[in-house]
Amino acid sequence: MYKIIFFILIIPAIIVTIWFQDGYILGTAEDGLPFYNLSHFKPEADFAWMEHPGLGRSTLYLTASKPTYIALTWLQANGVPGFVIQASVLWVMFVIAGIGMYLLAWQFFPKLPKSCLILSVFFYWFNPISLVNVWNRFLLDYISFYSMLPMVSFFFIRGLKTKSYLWGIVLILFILFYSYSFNYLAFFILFWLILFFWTSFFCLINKDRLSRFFYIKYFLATLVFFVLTNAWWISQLIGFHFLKDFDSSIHDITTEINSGIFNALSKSMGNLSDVYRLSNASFFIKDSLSWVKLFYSFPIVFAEFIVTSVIFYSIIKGKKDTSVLVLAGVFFTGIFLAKGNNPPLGEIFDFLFKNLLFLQIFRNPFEKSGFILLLAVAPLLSFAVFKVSETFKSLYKKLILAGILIYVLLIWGYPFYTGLVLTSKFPPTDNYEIGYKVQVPKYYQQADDWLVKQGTNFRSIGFPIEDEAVTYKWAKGYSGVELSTALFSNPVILHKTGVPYFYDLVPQIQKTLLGEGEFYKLANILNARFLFVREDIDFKERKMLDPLTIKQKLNLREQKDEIRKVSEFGKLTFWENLYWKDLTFYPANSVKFSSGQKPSDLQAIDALKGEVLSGKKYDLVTESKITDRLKITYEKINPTKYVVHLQGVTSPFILVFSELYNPGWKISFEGDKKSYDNFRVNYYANGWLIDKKGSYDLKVEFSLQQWLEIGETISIVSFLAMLCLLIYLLWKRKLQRRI
Amino acid sequence: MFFWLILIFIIGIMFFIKKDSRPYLLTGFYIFIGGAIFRLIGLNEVSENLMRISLLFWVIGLFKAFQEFN
Repeated sequence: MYKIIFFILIIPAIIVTIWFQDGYILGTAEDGLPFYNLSHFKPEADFAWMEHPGLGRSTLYLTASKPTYIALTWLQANGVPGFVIQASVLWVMFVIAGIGMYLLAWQFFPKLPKSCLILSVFFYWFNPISLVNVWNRFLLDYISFYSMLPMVSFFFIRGLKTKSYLWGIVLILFILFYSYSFNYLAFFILFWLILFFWTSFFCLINKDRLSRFFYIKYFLATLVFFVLTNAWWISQLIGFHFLKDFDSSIHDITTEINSGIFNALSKSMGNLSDVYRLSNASFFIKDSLSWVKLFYSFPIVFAEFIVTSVIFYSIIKGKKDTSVLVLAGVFFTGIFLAKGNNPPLGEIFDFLFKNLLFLQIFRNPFEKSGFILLLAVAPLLSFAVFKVSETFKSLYKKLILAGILIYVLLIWGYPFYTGLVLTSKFPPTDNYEIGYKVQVPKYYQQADDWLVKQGTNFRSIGFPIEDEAVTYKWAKGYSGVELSTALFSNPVILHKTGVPYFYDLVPQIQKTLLGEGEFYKLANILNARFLFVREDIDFKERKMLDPLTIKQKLNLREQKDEIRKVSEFGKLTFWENLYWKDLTFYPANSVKFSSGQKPSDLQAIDALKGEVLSGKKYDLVTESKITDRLKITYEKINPTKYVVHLQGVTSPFILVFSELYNPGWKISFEGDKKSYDNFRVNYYANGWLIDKKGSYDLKVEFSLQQWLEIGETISIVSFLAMLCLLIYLLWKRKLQRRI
Repeated sequence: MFFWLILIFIIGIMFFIKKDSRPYLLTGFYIFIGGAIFRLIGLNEVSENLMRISLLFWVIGLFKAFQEFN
């Protein structure tokens, strides 16, 4: 047993040491660079509203990452370097995945020799699915989900087999350490689908009604325990549905678009000749990286078919074994989902996909179903190798085992030991010396420190602005999602991302800057005090505008006294908007009506003169004296709560809050419990019609924060209750054993 | 459509031939092997069609295997 533990600990340690030996953090794709500065990401997990990217947005299920960020931020605040934290996290992920898979395989096949059981661990680590969908993808929520699945399955199945709720409680307590996985809502659905599959197949193999009844109760009880202990982030999803007009607050991906993606990916990655081999057909192709060639060569494809054939053979041989049957059931369910809407019976999946919204998480069917396939295949492979080797003499048994170990550890493990798994075809990650290693230049920290010294009541806009992704030409460069959150403490508009209103507004910013109009007006509407240009991006790779072109335009605007160059840090140059005034909250009584409120309409709005763009007409007294006499100050309590002090209100006006419009933002007056809904103004912002005269305070709050706080209380109480229940059940068990 | 017809044909046979799950699983296995061979020699479309038929036999074979348990 100690040998097993040794291998499970040491192999990941070797891999992680190789990956981080140079002392750089790793980052790419949609994850950005959280380990560069974890404290920048923690507010996303603490509050129901986050100020990044740019104009802000609701966090919803992103708060699931709270336990992770609390722990990791504490470590970084206490001097542990980011790369050490990241290396440790990845090592833990490997180890837990390994221990979980060993226990799961043992759970199904307790009589298998340890040499076969350890094979399930090695195969779970090193195989075509984990190589591409988990490690090459390099998203922490994917890695986290992959790591926890075997252990969670072990606990759940143990509970089914022993008919004990104790294991359900252990599972729930364990998951709290892996709540980061649910940062991606699709994994919440996939998680419960997998537990549902285990429950269903156990019901199918057990004809006893009482047992079946227990399995269903156990599944439902685990679900209830999960909802209670994860209430802190689930509560927001519930609260979100009570917001009026909530459709306008969610990412605008329609069923039609999802269906299109689902069709395309089913055709490219859902062919059974690839799915049976667990092969991601879009990765193992000629157009891919050079080191990938080995994996679509004839010998490897042949070996993959041999492995699948051996598994199929063992299913036939072992069909009377309940464990084989359950795993085979889950495996073929995974195959059906992975092929998408390809034949046979793809039309059923297509119909369900279009009519059951939650199934749209499978718009990339192979990527999601791969987790299900792997969970079933790894233990089945152990069993298969044992079954096949049983028919041979002991020398051949050893040769078979040695052969499969070489195949798994040396061939599929090769990209891991060499670090090649952490490369992609996009520069600079296609340079094998760099891969996903990133070294952020020091001037970003200098720039951020300087910006923080200027205050926290403004935004900055970085140029050039294009889509979501960027490539930085640093010594150890970066390719992935734009890094506004990682690099800057204050909100920065740096890219276009799929958030309603923000997505359509951002292109207008650069367009207005390059045009002849008064840019300062748009900058003020966005409460942007500083503009900066970064010259360290690979603008040609990303088809962005040349930073020097933008610099020239900014220099021209400087000559017109709209802006002034204030600072330079390395490849970053900052200009200040000379017309800027803190417009987080401002009063408006000059309403410009536009039924559609297009971003281009904003060019006509001067916030400094109390002007606002609205989709509704308001009959307000438009004398400028009224807004001049009105004094507005505010205190920011946290990103979800402000107290606004109004002095000298003599006439109705629109209070503008320059944060992204969301029906969750509400105001309430001092001493009045009633809250008032907002409406959208200035295309993206929040507005309220204030008609109460005099001087008073009002609270501006994001209503989902209350749901988060109530959910946190429920989670803490439930967690403590689960812990007490676990202790009680263990104590009771101990007593029963003594008797 | 082709696979619907195959499925109906297989289900039809199931009702008339009282066999256990083994023939279906074995048939699915051999068709899979055939599909693998065609894939290895580069006849991808033939391979894919054989794999699809194999899947149908596997699903029905497993369905019968679960029935045998009960």
